[in-house]
Amino acid sequence: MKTRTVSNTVLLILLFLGLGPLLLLFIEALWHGGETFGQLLHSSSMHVSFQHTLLLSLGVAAAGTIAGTAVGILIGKTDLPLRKLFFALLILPLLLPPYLLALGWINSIGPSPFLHTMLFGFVGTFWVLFSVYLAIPILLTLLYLRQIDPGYEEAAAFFTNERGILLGILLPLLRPAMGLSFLLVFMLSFGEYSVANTLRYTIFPLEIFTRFSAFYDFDAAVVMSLPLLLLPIMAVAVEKQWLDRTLYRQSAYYAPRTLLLSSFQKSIFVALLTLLAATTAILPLLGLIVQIDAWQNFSDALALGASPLLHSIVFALCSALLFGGIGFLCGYVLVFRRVWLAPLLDTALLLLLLLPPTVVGIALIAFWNVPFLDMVYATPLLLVMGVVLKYLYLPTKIIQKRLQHLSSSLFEAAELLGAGPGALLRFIIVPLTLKALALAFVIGYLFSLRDSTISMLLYPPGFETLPVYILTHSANGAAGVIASLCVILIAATLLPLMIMLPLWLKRKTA
Amino acid sequence: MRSHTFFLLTLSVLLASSAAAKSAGSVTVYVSEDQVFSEPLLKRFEKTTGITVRALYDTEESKSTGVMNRLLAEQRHPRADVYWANEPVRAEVLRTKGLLAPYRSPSAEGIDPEFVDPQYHWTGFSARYRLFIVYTKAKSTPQSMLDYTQKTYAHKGVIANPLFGTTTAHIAALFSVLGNQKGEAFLSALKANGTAISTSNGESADFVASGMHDFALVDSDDAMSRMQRGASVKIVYPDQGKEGIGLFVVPNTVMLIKGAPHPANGKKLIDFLLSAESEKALAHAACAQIPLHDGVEAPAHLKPIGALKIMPVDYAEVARRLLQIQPYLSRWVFE
Repeated sequence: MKTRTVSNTVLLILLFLGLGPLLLLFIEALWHGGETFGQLLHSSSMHVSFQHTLLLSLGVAAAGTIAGTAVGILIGKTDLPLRKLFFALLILPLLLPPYLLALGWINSIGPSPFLHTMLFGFVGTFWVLFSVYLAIPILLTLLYLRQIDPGYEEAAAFFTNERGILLGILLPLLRPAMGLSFLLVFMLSFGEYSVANTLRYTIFPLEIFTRFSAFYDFDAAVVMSLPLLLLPIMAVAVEKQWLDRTLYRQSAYYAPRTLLLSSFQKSIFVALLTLLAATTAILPLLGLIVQIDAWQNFSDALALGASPLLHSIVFALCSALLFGGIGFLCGYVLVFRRVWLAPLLDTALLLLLLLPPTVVGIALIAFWNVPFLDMVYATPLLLVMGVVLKYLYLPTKIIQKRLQHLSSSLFEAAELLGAGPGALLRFIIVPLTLKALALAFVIGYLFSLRDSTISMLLYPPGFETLPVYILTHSANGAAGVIASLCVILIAATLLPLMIMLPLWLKRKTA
Repeated sequence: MRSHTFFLLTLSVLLASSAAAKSAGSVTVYVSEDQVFSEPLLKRFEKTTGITVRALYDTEESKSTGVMNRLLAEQRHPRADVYWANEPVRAEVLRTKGLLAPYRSPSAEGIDPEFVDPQYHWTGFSARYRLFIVYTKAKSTPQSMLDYTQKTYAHKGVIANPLFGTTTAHIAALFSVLGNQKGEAFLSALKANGTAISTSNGESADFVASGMHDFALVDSDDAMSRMQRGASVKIVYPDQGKEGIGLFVVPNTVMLIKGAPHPANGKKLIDFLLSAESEKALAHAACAQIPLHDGVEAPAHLKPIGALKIMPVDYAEVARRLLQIQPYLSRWVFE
């Protein structure tokens, strides 16, 4: 009873911080702009842009999930040559703010009118978003493949060949990973407008952005976001219906099995992955890097960007710690504490991920900009809070899924020995969730570091972050220096991985 | 130990920023002028006066979302002292929404009243011309805005999205000179003639520099920076003939925010930015902006303002016209 009260209180605080500002903003906008809502509902341009957005995000989610799962299986389950290289290349686009990849493509294709027609519009926007978010299904597939009990494959091997194991065992067991990938990529693509803005494809979040930036009409912009409230509710229902029921348990009596490919299959798959890596990562990144025409560009970039880089790293590390901590708390409550606020939390986190960053940013400004809250508003705390609230859904989901995989027999045994909830948490749940916590930390760091949209609205004067600095310098800044700053941003994104790698290698050797 | 170091570092960043926010020797300025040009000038102010400048930059490339939206959202409890906008329409929007405090700077003496709000809510300085950047290998060279609609230039021109930036102000100015009916006819003909729409003036300039399009209407700093990079382009001052409507001039504007936390330091910064020395610095920087003070030397590769035929506009009327035509512009862009 006591733990339920604590859980509900924690959830109430989180919901107050996340939903409170949005609720106030929506009420105020409806109060002033109720009529606008009716007009917007009947506006044909709104219908068209909403259809564009749905088509784009569904397309990116479907293509990304299919391709990402296939690549994940090839990398994580087969003896394909150059697996690690392909993995590194295909993950790279996720490390950059998406609009930079679009700029890289513009530089890569040069003045060709035909390629411009292809790039500017649906095709280009689709491909850039696909390139950026392909990493998510790949990572989730790799993560879920590690959870599959190799005993299933060993048993199946008595009756079928490797194709049969793939189709009959692995793919059905990877359904939760595919479902989660689809959901995450759909949500992230839906809220992302910087690529569509660069490549001039009309989408719904861009219409909202235009209301803010061209018309300075806050009420209309906020009211326009109202239809988006339906999507997280639908997504949570879908998740509850299909994704929560297809769980499986882990055990490890057998070593993981590798699917062996023939020489012909290896050649085909290497060629396909080379093509994929070239068109999603190598070409657009080369488009940025070739602009670095002298080492002087790098030293200039380091001198100019040192302070924004430091801000970015410190803020991203703070956000990542909060992502780990709060993500664990939310995941724990969602899995183990069936409190009445839990479904609302799930929906609220999805809503924050889905809403255009401008709406979330304006809501936080309006809510926190009061004289006695200077400690929050006039410091980087607001930026950290904004980024954490915006992306908290991602670490929460990672930790929630890991917690769902924990065997109930562990808890039953511990409870028989007299362990209370505190002991269960300390000696069973936290140790078994460490990898997921580390992943949540890395994901949190990554999304905080590369964010430019919400940071643009919330960074305190004098504390700009590196992506914001790159954006504000991209207008008339030296192209070589901008490209160098992008490379520095990629290096900074890899920082936690570089720190973790020696520890992981040390542990592996031991 | 490591976690302690990290905690202390984080705490010191937060405390430093909190302390900076309360410091009396500081000024907070929100800036829409490109950071690459505005930052050196603000650093010079900091060095000269000892007043710490806490700047928040934005850019036309991001549609000034950060700065303008923040100024509007902070209306009830302003955080900025000064706003340095890269054009006058945003200044007028803020004035009409009651966000600005009047301030008549002594440094504004000598600036043409055409570039100053009559109630001194904002003051213009260091302007840019709206001109054509033309690919040197192009077969024909446009001479007028209306050439966008001529068959000779079908599928050859590019213009930035008129919902954002200085193109918005330019189109609104054109509508106020031609009238709404002729303005709409012009934009329809421009679109029908296959003119491409880019996301920003910078992108338009890049398209011309790469030879993808023959010409574009851009700001003079966009054209100058491409010329300085060695691109094969030239500049053309449009509508300079006897019948021409003249060239549109876009001054930077600077304004004091009503309820600013540090109004005295804000006024010092405004005086500094409006000074002839600051105009000279911006004229000789890569942006090559045109001084509005008499007697300040113009940039080397641009004609001085007195030598050109200028479009006669009232910036307050341009802002009003903009609000009036925005729904049309939105339909024109998206449909």
